[in-house]
Amino acid sequence: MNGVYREDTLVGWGSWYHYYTQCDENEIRLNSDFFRTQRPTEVEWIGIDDGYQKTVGDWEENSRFGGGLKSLVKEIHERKMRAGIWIAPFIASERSEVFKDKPEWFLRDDDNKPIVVGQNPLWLGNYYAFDLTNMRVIEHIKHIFKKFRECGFEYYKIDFLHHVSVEGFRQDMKITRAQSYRMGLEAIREIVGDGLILGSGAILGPSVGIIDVMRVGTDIAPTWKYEWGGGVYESSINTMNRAIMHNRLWANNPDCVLVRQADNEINIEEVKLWLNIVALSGGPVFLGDRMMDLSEERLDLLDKIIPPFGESGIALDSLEKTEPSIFALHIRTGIGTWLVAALVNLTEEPLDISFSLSRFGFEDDDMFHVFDFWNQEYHGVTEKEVNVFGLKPHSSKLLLVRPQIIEPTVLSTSIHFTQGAKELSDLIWNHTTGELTVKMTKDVRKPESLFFVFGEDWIPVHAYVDEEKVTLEQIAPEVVAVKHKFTKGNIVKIKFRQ
Amino acid sequence: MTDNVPGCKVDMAKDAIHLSNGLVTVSYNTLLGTITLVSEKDKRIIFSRGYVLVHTEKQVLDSRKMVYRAFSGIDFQENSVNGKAIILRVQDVDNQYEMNIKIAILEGLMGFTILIQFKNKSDELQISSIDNLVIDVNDASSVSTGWDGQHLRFFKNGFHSWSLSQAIPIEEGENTSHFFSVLNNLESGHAYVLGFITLADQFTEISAFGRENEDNKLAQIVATCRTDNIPITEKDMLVSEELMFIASDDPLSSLGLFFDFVKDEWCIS
Repeated sequence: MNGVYREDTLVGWGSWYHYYTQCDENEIRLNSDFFRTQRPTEVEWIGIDDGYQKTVGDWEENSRFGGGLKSLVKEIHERKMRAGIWIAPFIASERSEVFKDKPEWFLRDDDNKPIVVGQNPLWLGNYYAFDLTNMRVIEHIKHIFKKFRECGFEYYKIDFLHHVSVEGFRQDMKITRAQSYRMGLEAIREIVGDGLILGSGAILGPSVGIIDVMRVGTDIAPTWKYEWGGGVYESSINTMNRAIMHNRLWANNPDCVLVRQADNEINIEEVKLWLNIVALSGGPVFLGDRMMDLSEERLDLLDKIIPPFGESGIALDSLEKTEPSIFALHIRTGIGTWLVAALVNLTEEPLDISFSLSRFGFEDDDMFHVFDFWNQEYHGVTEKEVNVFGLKPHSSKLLLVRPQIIEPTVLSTSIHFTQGAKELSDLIWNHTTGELTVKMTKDVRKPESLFFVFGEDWIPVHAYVDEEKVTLEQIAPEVVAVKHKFTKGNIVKIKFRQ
Repeated sequence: MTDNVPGCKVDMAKDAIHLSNGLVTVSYNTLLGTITLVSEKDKRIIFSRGYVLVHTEKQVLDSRKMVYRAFSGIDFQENSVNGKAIILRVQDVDNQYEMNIKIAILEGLMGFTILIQFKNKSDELQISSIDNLVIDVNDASSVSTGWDGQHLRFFKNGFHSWSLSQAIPIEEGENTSHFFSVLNNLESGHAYVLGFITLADQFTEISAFGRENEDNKLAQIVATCRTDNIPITEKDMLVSEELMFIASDDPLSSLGLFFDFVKDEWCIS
């Protein structure tokens, strides 16, 4: 049993959070078309979630997917993307044929009747958990996944898994619940091979080594907090508190990002709070809106967290506070080392937040520039700790904290939340000529800013993007910005004099 | 005893077996059937009087009431981890049941691991759970985290993906975390990281039981493997999952270390 680690960091889209159980093949096509035309290289996966099937337990296509899943996967492939499918493989609804035909396949109570393990109004009734000690059940599950694999699916979101932990009579009572759960997972892995398994509602411990990508919190929702737990509040707590599992046991999946400007109960501060947490989780970025409905302003928000960084921050106060507030990512790249920290207020009162920089290995006498990413504000220099006072409830700040050096250097960008790790490379300071150059590694869709900081020994004179002279904007006495519609490969040069 | 693993050694005393790695010494008292962990640096007791329970439908087998018979030692190296383990054999007074308690230490780890093998020498019986480690917190014992509820936080991981996962004050009664937990004293900085590094066969839990009073809130810590009443026939045996215990003044780092062991899963059973 080893943790699963995959090099690729996923970016995808899933149908659930807009369509719920009412998605159809045409809407899948429309969203796929959006990515092909608007984001041709950034979104790799199209996930068909709950709603394509006849009922939970009977995984054949319903009338909304009359063209068939195989044909739809082919169309997704033609759009240069890959396809994923949702399934709840360990349960079946009371309306399913498999439940009606094979009631003996399910966990049973003292009266030998199948045990109701849950009730879902979207599925129109009760549902039941399979007895995974029954080898016929295992073969049945394998058969379903063979069909999906033959359709061309490459990722499998397996959901509602924990229900098989219900105590009840099984065919083989010498097998523990954990072992039976593991047998179910192993059967799926055997069939899907190196396909990607995303676990949801998964029992954490016995999933280690089989599940590639693990949902680490409840369902996100376009609301702060539902009574049943869903929404930004609990998802944020879990994503921060379980961040330490990322890339150790599996890749953490915080759940989708939702940035819709309509039919959304969360305000823009809450939207950004969740974006910060998903970004700093290092896990996959899955989009959950009907893409064609998003305004340019909302699409811009998504650009800030794509691609994922891959590495996770740590929630510094996760073992101390009921509602953690400090999520810090230590970035180490060829162009430098710095922190990006999300300071979040999940409470209902204004919050003061402080954290020490000592645990990140900086020198005791280091000084640090602090930059607010979303507000594009330079906060000056601090030493030893970062403080934010009176942070409003349900809001956050995404701060860059960069060690101060004598020479001019890059401070931040408006392009990506890492503020340099995914959009910049080849940073060179030439002391003799007084030139600072850096290379762009990402195309941008609108004019964006690069921020440069310099000490009192140097004064910026000119700025160039490749050979084009561009305007230098003074942001603070020691900070300037270059705003431009950058393209990948651009060399940005700042000429300084002493 | 031999000392083939640098820094790790086993010492046999009159009434105890000590296993140490230069950072900690974990001791099994062969008369009392209890486990104690001590910091080597300052000789501070991290916890004392820990014990093992096996819950059957007939009775609860308690290491404190069982008779020590023998032990064996083993050096191991797996996935670049060097360690030393002892396997203690204890029996009930009627010689119907046997426990093999494997305690291991690793180089550089401020803690130990413990795994229980139960052997049935009698009629078939059902095992509901195995408590790899129970620590009673009272005037007769010692825990480095202290027991004041105002300062303690218990990390409750939750059973599955959607379960809320957060650090909470210890409440009266049972507080249960699945897979792992951290017990953290916010005032002193002393913490325990407890979690299971093997997970494929049994559901696992870490529980902290709380008293009514805040001053002496923490009453008991229990690390449990749920064995689901599976029947164990005569001469058959059952092995628990393996628990890792880390004493720490930096629990966040230690928790990361614990997960690294889950990933690597060194196993010598």
